[in-house]
Amino acid sequence: MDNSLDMLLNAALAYGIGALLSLILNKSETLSIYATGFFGALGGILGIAAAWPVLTGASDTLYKAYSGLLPFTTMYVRMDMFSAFMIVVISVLAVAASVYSFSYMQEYKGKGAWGMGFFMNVFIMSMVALMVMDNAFYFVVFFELMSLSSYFLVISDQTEEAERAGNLYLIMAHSGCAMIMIALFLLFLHTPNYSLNFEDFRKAQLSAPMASVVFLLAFFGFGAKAGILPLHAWLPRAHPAAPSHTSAMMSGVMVKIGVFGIIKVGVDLLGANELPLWWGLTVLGFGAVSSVMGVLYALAEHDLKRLLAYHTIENVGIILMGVGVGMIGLSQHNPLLAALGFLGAIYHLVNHALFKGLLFLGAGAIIHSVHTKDMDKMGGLARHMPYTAVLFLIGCMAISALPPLNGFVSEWYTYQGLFTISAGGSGSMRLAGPMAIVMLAITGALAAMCFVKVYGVSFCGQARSQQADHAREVPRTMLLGMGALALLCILLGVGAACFVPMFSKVAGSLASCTPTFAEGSLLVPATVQTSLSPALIIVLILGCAICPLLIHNLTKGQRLPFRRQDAPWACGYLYEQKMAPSAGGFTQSLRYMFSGLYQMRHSFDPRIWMSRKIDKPIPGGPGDSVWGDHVISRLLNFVHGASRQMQKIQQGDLRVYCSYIVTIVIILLVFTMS
Amino acid sequence: MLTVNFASCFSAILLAIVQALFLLLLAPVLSGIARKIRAKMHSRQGPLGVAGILQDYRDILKLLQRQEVTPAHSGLVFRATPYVLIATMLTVAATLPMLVQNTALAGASDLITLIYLFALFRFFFALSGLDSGSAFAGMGASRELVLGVLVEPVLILSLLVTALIAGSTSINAMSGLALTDWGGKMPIAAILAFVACGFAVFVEMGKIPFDYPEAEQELQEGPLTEYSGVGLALVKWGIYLKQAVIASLFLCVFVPFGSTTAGDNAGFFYLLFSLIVFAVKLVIVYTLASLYENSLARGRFLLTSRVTWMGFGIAALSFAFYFSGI
Repeated sequence: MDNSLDMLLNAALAYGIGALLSLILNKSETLSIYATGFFGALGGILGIAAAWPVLTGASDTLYKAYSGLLPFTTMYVRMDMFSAFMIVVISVLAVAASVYSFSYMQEYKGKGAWGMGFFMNVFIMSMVALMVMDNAFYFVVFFELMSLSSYFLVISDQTEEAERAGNLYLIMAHSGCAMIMIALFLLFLHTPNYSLNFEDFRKAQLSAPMASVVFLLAFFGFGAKAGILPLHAWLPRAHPAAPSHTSAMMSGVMVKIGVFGIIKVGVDLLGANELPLWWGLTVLGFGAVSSVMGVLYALAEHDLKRLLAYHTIENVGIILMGVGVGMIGLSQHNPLLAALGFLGAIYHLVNHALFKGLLFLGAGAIIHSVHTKDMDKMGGLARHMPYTAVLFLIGCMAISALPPLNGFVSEWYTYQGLFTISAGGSGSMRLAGPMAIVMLAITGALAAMCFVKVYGVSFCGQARSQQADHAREVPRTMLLGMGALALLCILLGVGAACFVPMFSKVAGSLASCTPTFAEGSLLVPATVQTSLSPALIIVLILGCAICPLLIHNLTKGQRLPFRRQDAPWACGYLYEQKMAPSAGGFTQSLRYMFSGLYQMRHSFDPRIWMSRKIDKPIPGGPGDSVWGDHVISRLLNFVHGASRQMQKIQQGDLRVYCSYIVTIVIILLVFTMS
Repeated sequence: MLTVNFASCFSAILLAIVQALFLLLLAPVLSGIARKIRAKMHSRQGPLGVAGILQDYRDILKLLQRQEVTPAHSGLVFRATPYVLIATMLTVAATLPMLVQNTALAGASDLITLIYLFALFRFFFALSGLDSGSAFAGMGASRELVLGVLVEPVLILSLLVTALIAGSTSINAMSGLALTDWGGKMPIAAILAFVACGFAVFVEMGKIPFDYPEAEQELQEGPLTEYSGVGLALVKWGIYLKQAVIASLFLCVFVPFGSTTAGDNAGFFYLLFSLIVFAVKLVIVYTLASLYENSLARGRFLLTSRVTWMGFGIAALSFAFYFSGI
């Protein structure tokens, strides 16, 4: 069955034709926008058609070699279930973004829309191609092509801020790529016949430390692409700078390439080697920290697109928690646990692509109408843009993991995976599991708060600016792009029982087993005795809503009809728009309570310490007393600093002393146990 | 699931409806009891006589006859919230193993699911506050959510320890363990989890110092500010219901005594007995919570996190005991 791969080639061709047409038609930008959008959508549909048979298991893993001019340029292509899955995710979002771009890109006429169209299609094509490359040389080529084309999209606004964001992105992307190249090179050295083919990489036998070096290099290299903390600084700057449908692609799928890479190297390419427990724990830990910190930083934002970008960090963290559980499962030779972890990860991966795509497209719709990214200048949009508002609300609820939408289902599986590692296994697993669960719970609560803020401040209440008061509903093609994604968000939530069998096969292919995670309409984690039925939940909620509606209607009697009138109450003073809660004020108390964590943001920002290192004067010079400056003053500083640290411990607060006692009891208990 | 016959399916649905309506009808009475106790402890008379505990019913009935007027700029979310709140909480009420030990609606009765259903409630409650455009409602919405952020870790960690002891996050399993072998092999961890969860439930019930239910414009119930008439009646009822539901969740996980293990086929009188026992347990929880609440002073909201750390500390300690197998 070479059909699928040929079809995929056609998809890549479609993207390519769209890109070239966009270049050729640079004189007439309307045509170039249509060409890009049409061929982008066509490529997406062909991509789905190509990957579908492999994804559903109707066709086995496909493998093909396209010979090139030189021996090392032979292109090996391989489509297994996981890459087919990724292609479908990319393609679905590509279709939605392309349809959306028909109207959205009209804004960019005269600002180089043809160039953006070209880079957009090249960007999507390189991502799709990257998924099936089975050769290190081409893998790196397409990885670079993806980074470069998205770099040009980031700087497309041509403002100073966009250019700075682009430069930071370029540096981070290339440092990441350098690490990946070293990792691949190390693998290459260990292949039996010095070959660049992944097929030979899979057979490579590495010593345990060498395997760990390769894994860590790949983890941080791909992690920079995925935006894990502390390599995230570029992401909230670069993603918002691009046009919104590109942001949707970058946040929705490009960061997932990073996750794909981590799984590819850790599970697939290093598959011949024993997988140590700490790899999984590392992935889990970075995921957990990224998720909490990502959402905390998002809360402090009032730039809509940057806020969404921070949420990408959060969601990548949640996905990585699932990956971590999967890798822990593999290290424990527990394929069922591994499959459960990977199921949570890939389910959340597709979900995040859908709702983050939807939210970025929604943000684009708002910017299209209001011409600002600042939430404090929006307000009251639900009245002017009712369809966008409903679709955006669905996105907000899905990303906040509210049942019965899709975000909840995938987080539920992740919770169950974490619960399984908490319930059994070695001490470190039993310790890491509950910590990750608590962090996931905090993330969930913070995300809900953040999206109440987003939706409440931008769509609810009264308009906060002139432009917001004159906002108009966006054209139909944009609504269509968003609507399709919103529908998928609902389907993957309520109808999870139909999709889980397919996703379990993909997860099972990574864990080499065939698990059952759905029994009829019930979703089960298989490792634990419990179940979830999103369909039942929606039926119950809708059924229960009858009760208050009945109360409302039965008591109608002599009651006067509902009406909207006058301004909100303001203690008897005249209500002013300024009194409405602002994006900053809404989260003020939280920023106060978690001020310590917010300060860490500066310590993690590479730009700050980079410039500090560069600006630092060179020490030394004539007459410089080595002893005085270097030894004694340092000693003094050390003593001074140490006593200041001691002061923090001995601050005379009874509650702090109590917490010391609790901490010590906990530590002692843990020690006595082990 | 597939082999369930029609009759038992019907009785399961009937039982779920009975449970949900039972809590819906009882919730205002429970809140009335709390109100009466508070008045007595303040040396006030409160709502008159023994029938005073029905005062919240009278309030709701009065409000149901009034016209609903909302700010001119409020939107659909504001309008829909009362229904979402009640529907979500009725869903939880219907799925809890309250009267029989194994609820048939297990697909919606998982620990994680329930906690996220509470998040759904909170999401819409807070959003309605922002939708009204009022400064007070917005402040209340913010506080409601911050409190959620602070309490959720305590709630989930304490329930997680219980779930770990029971070996599953299904409420049925957790409740079943408490019924047959309370605390399993780790009673001390279970007791600490009980305390920590009780703390979280106390906060979620809207008690001092975390909330002051009779000064709604100032604090957590701020989102009520702009509601009026029938909308206000339903939102208030929804909040009473939420308090009763969270107390029921606590009872189902930690104190399930009185529910029957016979499943849906238990006799009518047994179910009636369970119903009465459950009502008594709820009254006890409310009484204890009120007594404790009124011995406390109000505090600054920004310092709440210092108090909730204590709750988290207890939950963490409970986990440490679980970890070391005590």
